[in-house]
Amino acid sequence: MSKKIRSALSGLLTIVVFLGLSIGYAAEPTFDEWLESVKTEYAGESLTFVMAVHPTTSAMTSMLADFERDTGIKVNTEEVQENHLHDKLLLDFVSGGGNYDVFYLDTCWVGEFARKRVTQDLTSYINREGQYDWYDYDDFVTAWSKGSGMIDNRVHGVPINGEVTLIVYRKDILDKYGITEDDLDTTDKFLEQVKFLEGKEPDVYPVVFRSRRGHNAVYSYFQFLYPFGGTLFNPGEWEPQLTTAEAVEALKFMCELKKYAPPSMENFGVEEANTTFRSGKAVFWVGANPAIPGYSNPEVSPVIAGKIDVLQIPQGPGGNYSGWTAWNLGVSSRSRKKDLAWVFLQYMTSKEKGYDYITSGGSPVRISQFENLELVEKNWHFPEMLKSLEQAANLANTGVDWRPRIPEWTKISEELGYYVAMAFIGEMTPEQALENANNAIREIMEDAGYY
Amino acid sequence: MDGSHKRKFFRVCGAIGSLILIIIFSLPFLWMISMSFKTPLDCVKIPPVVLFKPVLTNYTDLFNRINFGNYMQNSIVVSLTATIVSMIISLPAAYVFARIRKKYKNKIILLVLSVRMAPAMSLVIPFFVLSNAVGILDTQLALIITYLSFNIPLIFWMMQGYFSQLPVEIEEAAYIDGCSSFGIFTRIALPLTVSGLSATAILCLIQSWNEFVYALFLTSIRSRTLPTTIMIFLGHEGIQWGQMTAATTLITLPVVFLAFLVKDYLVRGMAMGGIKE
Amino acid sequence: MVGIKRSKHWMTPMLIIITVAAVIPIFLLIYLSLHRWELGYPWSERVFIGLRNYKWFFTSTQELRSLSVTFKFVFWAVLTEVFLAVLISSFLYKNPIGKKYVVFSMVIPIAMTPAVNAFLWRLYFTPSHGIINWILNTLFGATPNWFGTELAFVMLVLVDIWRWVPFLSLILLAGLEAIPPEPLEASYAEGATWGQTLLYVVVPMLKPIITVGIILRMIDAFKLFDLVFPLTAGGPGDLTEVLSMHIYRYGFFDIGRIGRASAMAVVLLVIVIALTAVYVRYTQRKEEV
Repeated sequence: MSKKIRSALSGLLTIVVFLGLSIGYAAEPTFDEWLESVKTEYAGESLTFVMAVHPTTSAMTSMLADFERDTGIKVNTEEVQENHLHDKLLLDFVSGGGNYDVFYLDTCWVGEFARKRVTQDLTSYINREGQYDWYDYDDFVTAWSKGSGMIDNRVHGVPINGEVTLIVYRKDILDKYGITEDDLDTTDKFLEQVKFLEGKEPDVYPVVFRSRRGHNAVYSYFQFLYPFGGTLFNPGEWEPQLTTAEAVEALKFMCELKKYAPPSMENFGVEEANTTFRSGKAVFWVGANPAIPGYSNPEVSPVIAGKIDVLQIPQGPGGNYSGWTAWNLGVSSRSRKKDLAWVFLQYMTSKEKGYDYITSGGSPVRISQFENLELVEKNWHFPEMLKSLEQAANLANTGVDWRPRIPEWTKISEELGYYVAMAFIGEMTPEQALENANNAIREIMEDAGYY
Repeated sequence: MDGSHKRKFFRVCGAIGSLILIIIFSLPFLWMISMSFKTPLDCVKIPPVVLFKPVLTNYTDLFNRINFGNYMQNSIVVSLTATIVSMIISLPAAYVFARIRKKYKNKIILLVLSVRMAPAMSLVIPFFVLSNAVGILDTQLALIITYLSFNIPLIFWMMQGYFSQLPVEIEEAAYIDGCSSFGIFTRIALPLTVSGLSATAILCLIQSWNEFVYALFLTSIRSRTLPTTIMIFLGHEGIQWGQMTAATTLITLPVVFLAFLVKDYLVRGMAMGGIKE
Repeated sequence: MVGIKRSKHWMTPMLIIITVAAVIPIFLLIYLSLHRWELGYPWSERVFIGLRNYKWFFTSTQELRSLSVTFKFVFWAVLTEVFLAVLISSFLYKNPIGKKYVVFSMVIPIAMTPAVNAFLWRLYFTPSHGIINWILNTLFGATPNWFGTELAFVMLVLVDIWRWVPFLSLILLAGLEAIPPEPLEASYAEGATWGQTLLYVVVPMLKPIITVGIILRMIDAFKLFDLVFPLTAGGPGDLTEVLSMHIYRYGFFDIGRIGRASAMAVVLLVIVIALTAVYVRYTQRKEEV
């Protein structure tokens, strides 16, 4: 063949290959192209988003203007206290109202809502052609995607706020007394330091955490339960195990801490505990990561910003464990605007908007966000979160779900939360409380047909 | 001490005592109103701020950011309708009851009062299930129907007392003149009890306006009434006290005002008809 | 005497509506209380379990504690309120100075929306920056922890007192003013002080009104919900969890076990209706005298 034809052919081949490749890529839209298509299709529509009071929802609220500008969809929001959101969503579902399209969804409720079909199964949405790769569902940290919003391999919630339990402390106070993290790495040592700090600083209590009856009490109790070697259910058989010596020890430990805590902490939900720490009235705050950006922001927390550091949950006699959970975004099964809701959900949880989200106070959920150097620089606590996630993986590897995502969880949480609170305020001994809780939980499981 | 000194001492004590009582009962209300005009910063200042520069932003925020106007409308519509409908149903019944003498009167009283006294929390569960089944959850209609359950007994009870005090002779004279019993009712009995009637109507309005339990269960976004709006503020304490007190002022001012109008009838209405918030 | 034809049928619409508005829901409530049904599951998934919910209610710690809190509340609230009402009404009776204004100010607690009122008190009782603790601190140097385990119940009773003492006082005042002056004058003539007159002459004469007041207050105190929910929501723990609050928590607030909540609601209903029957008996007997 003559040289000219050969070069023409190879040129043609290149063009064909190139064209073929670009056609293949054109099937996967970029984020901006996707926004364009959304805008043309849905501009002028509106949807309703209901959420709980939380730092991440404030972050989302600040992004709403951008969302409306980028997609032309108007968002109406409603905000309620965390405790009330569950009932609100359930009642809306029961009454067939369909008033809410997309909602903020706690992992605790996903089991119940999935069974009752309150949430829309989103698996098909995620797997839609051309969606999966650019949205990159695999980029979500597994603990928070498969380990939180997924039930029976169906996705009911996509994580927007990744949470792992840890302790935030006042570095300035510990430095003053020469206490380092090595003095705090086991539960015994931690308690010792807590006792030591009692009364040392005026108007500062050693420890604070959420312990109000119900969901809050269970959250805190579970932070101690596993390190002490206790667990909720025995694997496979679903028999409650709260009367073991380990579970009782864990509750005793939690009740012991009350002596070094602010008065009426037994009434504290998550907001009150945060406010107490933020106003500088406590040394240790046993909680989780979402509040940290707020604590580090001098405008929001003028008293403690710049003076805090993070500690992992101390190792207990039973092991070195931490807890994980997430707040998700879910779509209402009764919504008449599910596609719009899905658009909103994708936007808020997308890689592309992740930067805005996190810099406005949101919590990371994607692996890529942890690897993004800019974000890591702005969020000093990311490496600490990774350490806590490793601790959480310890627990997950033993086959335990930090808070089992079964439909009966809400009932279990209320019963257990009652008895933990009773022990906490001294109306029952920890043994009595856990005995009663065990019986109540067993009854729930029996009624639900587990045995 | 001679008599006039002693009397003066007691008078001064009496005045102080009255003052203390007035302060105890009115200060919480007045303080709330004052807070509603303060900036968020002024609201939480210790010691409490007495002299301050008033602002209207709390009120404007209520109507712009929270859908307060809608809720107010719901409250007005529901209270008025429930009262009017209850009036129409109960007045004839009360009148007839006052005039007849039958042995089963006591049984009717027991029935009416039991309905009146029945706890809202007990009845609301079946009301919720029924409203859901019929599809009227979160509508004004659901509230109006449930409010009949405590308004009708109240009107019945109050008005039968007033009607029974009317002298029968006037009615008998009209009857002889050829007036129908319905005519006697509308043209003689009702006009003569107008003051009691209006007092009773206002009491119904107050009760319906203040009702909380049924509203909590049976409404969501669309037909929510004013009392349950406090739920909106539950998560934001310490931040939105100004807005919160503005809301509570708007909610309570109308009923306090109405109560002032009928204060002489308050005791009778609430004791006779049983106590319903 | 002319017998005007009164049609009893004028009562029919009211009787029908009352029956429908009350009897049907009550039957449904009892029906629900015999089942296990959770909010969110379809109606078809309800399970008949007979009287198990009732058996559970009377043997379960939580529920019995809630009952005992309710009884405790009724006792203390009614006792202190009647006592204070007697004091205040006799004070008003004897002191015409400013009486008009006191009565005027008493309208406020009676009329204020109770739930809203309770929310306001929650603000005022906040230990750290509520106005009540500021006053107490300035006067006595004390800042009690109102929402703590010792005082939460007391705080609830105090709020209830503020709400109801005016009403009871006005009732008693009306009663006092209806007393003929002769017995009082006779008592003074024999040299009795006001305190003695109060105790031995006035109170016995007011007994009917006081009894009516007590019964009415008891009925309402058992039903209490509007004040508890915004103020403490039953907390801390369950120290202020009156029965209505517990029913709400079980039925709708995070649990949604309607069968059990219905059983509790039936118990509450029975208590209240029993008290109502006592009230009717007492007032009818009084009128026949």
